[in-house]
Amino acid sequence: MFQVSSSEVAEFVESLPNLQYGSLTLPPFIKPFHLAFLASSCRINGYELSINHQNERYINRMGLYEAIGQQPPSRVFRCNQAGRIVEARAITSVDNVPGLASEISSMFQNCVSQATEDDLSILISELLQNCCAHSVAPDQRPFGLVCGQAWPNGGLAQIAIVDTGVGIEESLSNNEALSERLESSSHCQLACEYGITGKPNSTHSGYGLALAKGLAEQHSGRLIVLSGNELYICGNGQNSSVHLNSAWQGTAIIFEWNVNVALDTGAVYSEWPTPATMEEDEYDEIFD
Amino acid sequence: MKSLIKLSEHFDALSSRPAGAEARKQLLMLLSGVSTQVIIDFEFRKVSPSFADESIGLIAAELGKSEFKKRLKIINTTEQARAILKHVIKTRVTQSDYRDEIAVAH
Repeated sequence: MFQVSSSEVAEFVESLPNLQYGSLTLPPFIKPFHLAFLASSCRINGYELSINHQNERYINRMGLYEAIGQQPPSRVFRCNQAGRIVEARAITSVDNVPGLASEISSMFQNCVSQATEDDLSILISELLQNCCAHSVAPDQRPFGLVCGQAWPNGGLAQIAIVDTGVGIEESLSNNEALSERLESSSHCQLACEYGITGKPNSTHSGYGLALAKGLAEQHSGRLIVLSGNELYICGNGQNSSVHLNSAWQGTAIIFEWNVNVALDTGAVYSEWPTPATMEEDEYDEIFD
Repeated sequence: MKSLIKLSEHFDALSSRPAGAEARKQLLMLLSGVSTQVIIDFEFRKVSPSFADESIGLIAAELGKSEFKKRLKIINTTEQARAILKHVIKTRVTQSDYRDEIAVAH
């Protein structure tokens, strides 16, 4: 099974404005990122989610209607899909993040090891917190949508998190130290660097996207970060930015990984820069 | 007097900044009381970078290197948890030392 490509995502995002004319075409093979963009777009623009597609039952099953507060067109039959499907969930408060992260990662329990499930939970928690902390203006409530799916026979899984907040460029512009780099670099790529945050005077540290990027790069996975007119892709030999003809008002994170390879956050942390003035074993004595 | 705190008795998940901030508050209360040393038991649970940073990283910054080493002990961590805890401690202590140097220079 092929990993998600930048052109696949860019083309779909560029077609989203067609929603207002009721002429959006979904591809035959629908992935979580399609659904997350579709539902978020309907919610932010006040459109009724109306799907005329061969996979309507699947789309209904993914809980899109409920996640954006709309009535599903037909009753949904929910069989046990543990290990395969993460139904769409709304992210509306940082208080819900730990529970949501744990619930989402456990959905993959049938196709990944316990260690990978734990590391996934950590990654999802960091990304959902970012969604709450960085996607909105201080006086707004956050809203994001997360969904996912595993294709065990194809050895692949995908999680998509889409929000309709201020976007990465505006978020990073709050950090004056980044102003020059924002002029000259891709802001999505910049946001994935270790230690980059839009809130330098708070306790935020810029770990979430750096962790996602590290995991994608170390384990032949894939990370796509899309915000405004930019799309950044990395992992499995990719590291580039693409300009979109149509902007997404918010931020989207698409993370894919090979379910047959264990994720290892510890290996990513060990690659992060540590202060040069410190010895490797400087604090070993406090651990027992 | 030594005090032992088992994080699982206070937090369902060690994965968010708000939980990390609450943990820091509780640990600092213990440290400001009669406890000469606080032993933090992670019980081999998963720990996110934001929890680690907000709790242990910021305590390390507040106490400074030698006081932190003297007064805190961390037990029962997974390899991943140990890696991120060491990382946030080193990073926060260095940032704090740097800020102190700047303040003295001015």
